Amino acid sequence: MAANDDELLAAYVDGVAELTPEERKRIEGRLDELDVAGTRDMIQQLRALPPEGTEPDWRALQARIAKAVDDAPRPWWRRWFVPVGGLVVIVGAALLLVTMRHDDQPARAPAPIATAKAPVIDAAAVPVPQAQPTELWLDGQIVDVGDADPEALFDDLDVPDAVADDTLTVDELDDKALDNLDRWLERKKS
Amino acid sequence: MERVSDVLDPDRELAERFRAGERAAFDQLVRRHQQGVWRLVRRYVKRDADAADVTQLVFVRAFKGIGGFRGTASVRSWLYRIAINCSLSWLRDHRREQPAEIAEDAIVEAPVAPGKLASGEDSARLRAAITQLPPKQKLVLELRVFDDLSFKEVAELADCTENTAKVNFHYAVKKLRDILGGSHGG
Repeated sequence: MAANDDELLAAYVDGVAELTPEERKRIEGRLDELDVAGTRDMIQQLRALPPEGTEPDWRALQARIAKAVDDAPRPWWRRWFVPVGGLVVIVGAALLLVTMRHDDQPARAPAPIATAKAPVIDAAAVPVPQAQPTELWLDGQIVDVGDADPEALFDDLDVPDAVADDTLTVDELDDKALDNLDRWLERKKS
Repeated sequence: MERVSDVLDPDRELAERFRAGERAAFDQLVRRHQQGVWRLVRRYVKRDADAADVTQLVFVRAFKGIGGFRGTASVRSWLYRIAINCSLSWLRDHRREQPAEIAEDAIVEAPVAPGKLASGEDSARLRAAITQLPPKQKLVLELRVFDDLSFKEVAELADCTENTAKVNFHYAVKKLRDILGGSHGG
């Protein structure tokens, strides 16, 4: 808010030091026109007014204030500051201690893993299973391969020589033999 | 007159010591400001005993609220702000008791200091004239003249700029001169 020059007159009269240099300069340029004396007189009358009322006994008032302050419940943050702060410090110290102790300890070997021991079985007590005949489901019938002639098993399957000859390996087969083998496998699948 | 508070708040160190837990610093603040606070309160609360009660309340509030003091204003401004709030609160709570007290107070009390005013009648007239001022002008005038605050502190308490405080002060003085006519140097 920009004040007119005359609006700062009372402030100039009562406290010239509190005006800015610019404000002071503006007022001082118009002092002849303004009622400086009347304003000063009014302010002096005001300042001369005695304070209202009869002042109390200040020592007694201090004592009352001290007692009231002592009796007053402290604000919540002061009530909780000591217990909560103490708890935080204790927990922090404990954590620090645990961490330091953990760091100081040499690296220990991992705890041994408990190994289960197989129970000792009396061989004589276990019954020996009887040998079973080796049977295969082949071409819609069960064939006991235990007694069968291996050559006879594949007689009717028109097996290529490459398959029948178990002494050959795949690496030793030529292209034609491989083709034959593929065709035979396809036929078998279908 | 250059006020100390404009340069350095003399109470700031006490407030800091109290915040740090030194109870004696608070007691010192009480001793330093109890009179100023009481006088301010007494202008609102028209009975001495009530003013003492409100003053006590002001310092209890200050004690509890020192943690919230940010230091943007002076400690004195902060205390006086609490004093104004407590006084207005007290007036709200005791609304029915006040009018008679004010009327009685304006006429009867305030003994005149010799040589300062011509008579008790002049003093009463001047006080009565002050009550006719608009609230803002009255507040600014009283804080400035009776509490001896700087315009900066007045502005803090009146919630206005320093310049506005100066202008309000001027119009308050001018209006008093108008009300009192030629009897007070007008």
